[in-house]
Amino acid sequence: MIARSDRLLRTGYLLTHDWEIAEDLLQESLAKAWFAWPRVDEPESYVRRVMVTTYTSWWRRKWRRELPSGNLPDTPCTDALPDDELWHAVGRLPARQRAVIVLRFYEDLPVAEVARLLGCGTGTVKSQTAKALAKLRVDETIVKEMQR
Amino acid sequence: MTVQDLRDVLRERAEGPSPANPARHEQVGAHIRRTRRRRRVAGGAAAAVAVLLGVWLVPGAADQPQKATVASSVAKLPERFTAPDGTEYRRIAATAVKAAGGRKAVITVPLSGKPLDVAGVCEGVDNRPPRVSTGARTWPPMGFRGCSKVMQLLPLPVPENAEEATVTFDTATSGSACVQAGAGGPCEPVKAKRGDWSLAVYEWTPPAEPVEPAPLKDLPRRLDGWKLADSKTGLWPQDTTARFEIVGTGRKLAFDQVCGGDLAGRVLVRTSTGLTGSPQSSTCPEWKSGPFPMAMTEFPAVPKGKRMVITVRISVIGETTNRPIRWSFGLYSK
Repeated sequence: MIARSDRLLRTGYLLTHDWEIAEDLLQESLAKAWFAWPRVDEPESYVRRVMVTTYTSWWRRKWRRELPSGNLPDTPCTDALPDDELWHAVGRLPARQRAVIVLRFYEDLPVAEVARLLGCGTGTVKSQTAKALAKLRVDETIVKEMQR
Repeated sequence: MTVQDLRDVLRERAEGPSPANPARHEQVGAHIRRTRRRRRVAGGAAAAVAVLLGVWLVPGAADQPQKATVASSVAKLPERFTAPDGTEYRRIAATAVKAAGGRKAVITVPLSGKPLDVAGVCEGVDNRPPRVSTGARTWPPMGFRGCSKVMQLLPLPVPENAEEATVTFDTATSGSACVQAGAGGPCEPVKAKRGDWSLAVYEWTPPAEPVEPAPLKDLPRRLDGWKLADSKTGLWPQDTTARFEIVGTGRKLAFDQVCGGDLAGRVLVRTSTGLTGSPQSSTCPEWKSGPFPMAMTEFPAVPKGKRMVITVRISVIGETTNRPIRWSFGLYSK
């Protein structure tokens, strides 16, 4: 079962961009999950959901270490972002968009599942995905494809 | 830029080395206790904490007898250490088999593709060291030697293409023996003595460049009445065979070997002559100090004038990436 804990830690790292904060996020989420344990059917999915909601609430309250910027600079040096730049660009996304990106493109979850985890509609997930990908300058034809 | 680029970046970042936190179990427990105090929720917390955290955080903790022992085993086996050749080891799971507890411990570990080792330290008196299995075929069967406070490391072969491996440490099937006190006397079964084993699984990162071991000492020219007739040296993995060609003198022949390097203890040496039936296998001891670790393989005398070829094949159990092993083989005659 430690495999799942490790996997969740990695998801936390993608959300927070910081291993220490990810560890805090994971521990807080596990502790919260403990109190709901008798009602939990799918433990991993439940803890992931708690992680995402905890992360977005932290971000709203105080964890604004990396402030999001509305857009990337207008004149990039190259058409394609190097890996480091792309990673930092993901870090500049607002919390909810960052969560959508991580859940869809790291966890490979379908739109409906991401909507369930975030407690919003599928339309919101699609629009947040599109906005995030646009900020990251992902190919627009693929952005459209991802709306499915 | 494509979505695949984005996926690649996320995977690459997430799947880098994560900081191990062996204290997570205790820290989450403390977190829950603090929250409980705040919420003033009564009753049964300790047991429930153990159940939840056992399921989520401690590999194999579903095995009730193991729960209380994990913390102590963690203390004896470091979270990280560096082997003499510079290889970095990181502990990814820990458990224990105590004298007073169950005979088995089972833990599940994630597989990142890096080589794995199992480690064990033992306290007390023990003649039932744990055998280790993962479901992957291994020969010989993997198992710890006798009880020692010095950490023993064994390679851990895992099933191919698996995402996780279930590692079983089993002290229940170590074989049996009996001792005959005197001629004609009854053969009394050896009583099982059980020590406290702390056990862990480590992931190691191969060195960036091959790290060659120090040169080996020369084999003794004379050894307990035997005289060195020929010798060969080599470096694994480049050199995997050795060949001795001799013309019989009617005298007996024998073969001995030493190896050097952090993984020398994982070498298997197989000798075949074409005269005798199946090849003979032996391990390859290290010789750093003290008397030569003599472990000769004897061959029948070769008739005078008859030509014989002794072929030696070297294999190593587990991964050896950038961790070469020196070997030195000697052919002795009486």
